[in-house]
Amino acid sequence: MTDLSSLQKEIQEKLTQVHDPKVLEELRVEYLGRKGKIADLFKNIATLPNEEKRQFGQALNQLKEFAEQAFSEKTASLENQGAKTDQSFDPTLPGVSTKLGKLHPITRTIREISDIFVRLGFEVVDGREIETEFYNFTALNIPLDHPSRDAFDTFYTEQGHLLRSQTSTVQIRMMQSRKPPLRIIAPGRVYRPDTMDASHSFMFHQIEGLMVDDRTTFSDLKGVLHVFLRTLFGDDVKMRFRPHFFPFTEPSVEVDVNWGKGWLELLGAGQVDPAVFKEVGYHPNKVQGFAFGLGVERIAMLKYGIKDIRLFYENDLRFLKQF
Amino acid sequence: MKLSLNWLKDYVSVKDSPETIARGLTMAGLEVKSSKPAGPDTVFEIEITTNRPDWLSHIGVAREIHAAMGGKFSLPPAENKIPRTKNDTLTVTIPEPDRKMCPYYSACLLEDVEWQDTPAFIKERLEACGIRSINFPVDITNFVLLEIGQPLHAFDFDKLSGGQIYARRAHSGEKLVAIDGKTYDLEPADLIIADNEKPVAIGGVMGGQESEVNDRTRNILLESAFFEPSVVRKTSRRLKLVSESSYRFERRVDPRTVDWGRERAVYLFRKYAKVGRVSLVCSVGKLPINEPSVKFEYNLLKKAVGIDIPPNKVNGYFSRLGLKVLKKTKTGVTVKIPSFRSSDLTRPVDLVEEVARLYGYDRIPETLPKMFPMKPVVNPMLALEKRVRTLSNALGLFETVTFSLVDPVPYERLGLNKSQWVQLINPQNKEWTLMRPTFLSSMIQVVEKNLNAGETSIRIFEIGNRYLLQNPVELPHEERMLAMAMSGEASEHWLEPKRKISFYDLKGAVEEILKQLAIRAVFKPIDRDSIFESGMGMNVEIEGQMTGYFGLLSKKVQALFGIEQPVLYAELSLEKMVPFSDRLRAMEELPKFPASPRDLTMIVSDSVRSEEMIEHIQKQGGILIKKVEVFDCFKGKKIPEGKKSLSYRIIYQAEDRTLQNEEVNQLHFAIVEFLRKTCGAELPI
Repeated sequence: MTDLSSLQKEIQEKLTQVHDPKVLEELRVEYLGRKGKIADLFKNIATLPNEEKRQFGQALNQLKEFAEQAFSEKTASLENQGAKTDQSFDPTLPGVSTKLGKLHPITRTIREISDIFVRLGFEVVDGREIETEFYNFTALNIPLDHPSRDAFDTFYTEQGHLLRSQTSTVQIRMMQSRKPPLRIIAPGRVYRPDTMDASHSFMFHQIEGLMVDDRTTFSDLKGVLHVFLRTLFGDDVKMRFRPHFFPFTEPSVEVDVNWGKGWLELLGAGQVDPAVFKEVGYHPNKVQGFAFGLGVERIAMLKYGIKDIRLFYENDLRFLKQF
Repeated sequence: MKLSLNWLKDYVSVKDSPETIARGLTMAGLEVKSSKPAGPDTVFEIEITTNRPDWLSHIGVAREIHAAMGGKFSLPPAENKIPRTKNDTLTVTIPEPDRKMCPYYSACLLEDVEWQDTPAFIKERLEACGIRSINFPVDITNFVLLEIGQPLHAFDFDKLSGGQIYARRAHSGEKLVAIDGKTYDLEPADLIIADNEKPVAIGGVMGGQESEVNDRTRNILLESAFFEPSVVRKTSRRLKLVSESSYRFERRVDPRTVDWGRERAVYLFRKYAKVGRVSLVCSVGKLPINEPSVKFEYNLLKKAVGIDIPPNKVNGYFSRLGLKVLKKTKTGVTVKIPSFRSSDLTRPVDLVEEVARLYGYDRIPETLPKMFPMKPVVNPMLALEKRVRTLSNALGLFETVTFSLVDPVPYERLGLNKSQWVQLINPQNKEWTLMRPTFLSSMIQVVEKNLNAGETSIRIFEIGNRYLLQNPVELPHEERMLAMAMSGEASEHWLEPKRKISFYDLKGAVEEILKQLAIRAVFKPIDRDSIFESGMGMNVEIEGQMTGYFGLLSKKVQALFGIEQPVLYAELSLEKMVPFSDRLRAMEELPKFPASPRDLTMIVSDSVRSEEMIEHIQKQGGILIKKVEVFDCFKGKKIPEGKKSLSYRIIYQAEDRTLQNEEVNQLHFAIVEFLRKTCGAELPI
């Protein structure tokens, strides 16, 4: 009577020592081949007494299953090893792809802001940069030879036109060409003869917003701006409305924000002054609404921690690649 | 403007800490930029908006503290019994036509004035506000200026000649040496104060050096006047001369302080010096006092601001602001606006702001507006811009933002046509005077700067306006452009062989953008007179309209900008592309029968253009040719000098049947034959 469990142990031991597929195949033939050890044992069943046949047969079948399983596992494991690693292939080399460019942080910021207002139901519009005195001053209730012009020092062209000093010009053009209700924002370049330094540039970007209908209130302005600021800077941002003066709004306000670093002046806003409605041919008693203007560079500087405004216009690729 | 807190407290009784007062003022619209302790005092640096000239004095700001924070408000004593002079010591004249420039002029004579040093408290306060003590009379005028807001001027009476004073328009050619020691040329637009012979002061701006009060002065003529704000402003701006006085006059001094200011000064002169005799020499003209009444409906607050405030509270705010209630009804109130607010409170809406401000902007609730549904409109230009930005990024280009103002000098040297240039008359800097007619210099400068910074591969683009004058009257044309520039290494990664960015990289980018926008464009070689190397520039035409150009910048342009590396440059008009971009198109049916591709390599002379070859292939192949593509262009060892090998993949395909090999072969050989004849092309050996 053969001891099947010692045979199983023997197979196990031999298999652990095999590293060559050829040896493995020889071993398989030795045990599982048609004339192998297990096949021989099956032949022996007939010679056994009847009462042992059944028990031995079952044990032998188990052994055979075990051996088949063990051999197929070993074959698989040798195959895996056997597909010899190609040492010449270096998977640590960098991946390749078309290198994409990036948007300028100014554009990114304009988009981010515009997207928020578009979701709030505003339409993005375009506006001129070279303008007349009418659109930059007169229609905005900024009289000639008045100190309120000092805040809007302006470049003039040889033809007597000017470079807009604020995007509020777009308010006038839009109101002249459309009837209320109106909900627009207008991003663009503006110009002021400032000396260049870390926080001033003679050219920069603004976004003007305007909402006009027959009911929009100063409370609504507060609500809309707070929603906007929370979307842009996160829900922790605090907003402060501080009375101010702009010739084209009444009441006027400067909006400060604070997210733990103290109050920072961020944008100007207010209810559109009736004098402006009059200039564009709206009935000042029948329409009302708000306007606001914000500096894009200022917001981008706050968001990305940029300390010097001149970086925006130097276009150093080491800077541009960061956004 | 600097304010002393102790000084403010002379007129308003507040016990709050400096910080609380500073915050209160800021939240009332008078922004306290800084608050610094100065001994027992605190100095506020305050930013005053142009609508509130009444804040340009301590009394004005004290009144605001009273309105915003409470406390008792009181005014200082003044000498209101100055006798009019009897004798003809002096006559003062404002010529009738000049009354608009100076509506009111008064002068007061203080005789035999003997003074010691300026009292210490006056000196301290002036210094706290940043004004140097000069001598007693000048210090008193400055003190009154900062206290009440009325600029006064003290002349040395004995230096004035002829017993005559004029407040009149300057004559051309008149000059004045002012107390700052500088000589100013005067013009008829300036209002001056003159004696019988010459100007002695620029009205409201600065006095003259000659009649300046000094330690030997005994008789003082004290001027107190109302000058027209716009006149003072024009003169001050033209002469680039800003004084404490002009700053206030151009913002409009309250006409009610003109006499009061003089009376207060006389009071102080008498109190702190020995004055022999005081007499009012003259007061000519009329003070433009205006105290309008405004009717205010309470429901305006709900309508405009969105808040309900009880009427008695509203009336309380008004009275604290110095507004007198003339008439009350259930729904509203009529108030008289005091002279010091007459230019900024003229309409009900102005009072809305006052109420909202004193109620506290912080307490106004936040609401979201009830919005009208509106048709969603997308501006086609902005939509195209967005698409092109995305495409340019996908093509590896980084976006730049450069100044719209450029230096015209390189363009002048290039000999560009100047007739359409838009130039500034008051540039900030000599290099930034021209509104760019092209992006060329802007883009080259970015390339150059980055090369210098050690960047080896540069691909950039910008979207913005160029500016072209149409005619001198109309506003210039602002054309939205796309500019691209490339320079340096092309190879993007280690798997590819190293090579330089070439003409074809830029051409490919232009083609890809047009293709993605579904714009059909024709490229036409530029022969001469261009910024490009001869034969290496192309114009882009869309439906017969010149829309842009691209190519390799010429050596001349390179030299002009001092750049050594070759630069590829493109400029396309987005404005001209808008009507053609992304037009709706019906889809093409997919082919039902298989295609038969054949490759064709031919050797041709260098002067043969690939496009000619393709045209010929298509001409000969006709409708059975679906597509022709170049897949190789080779010059080298096995190709004779002056020749190149061009390889094409031709896709043969019929719409109605499967093409048989034989038919394709026949056609293919016919094409070879045709190219041999037309282009001198030969099959490789």
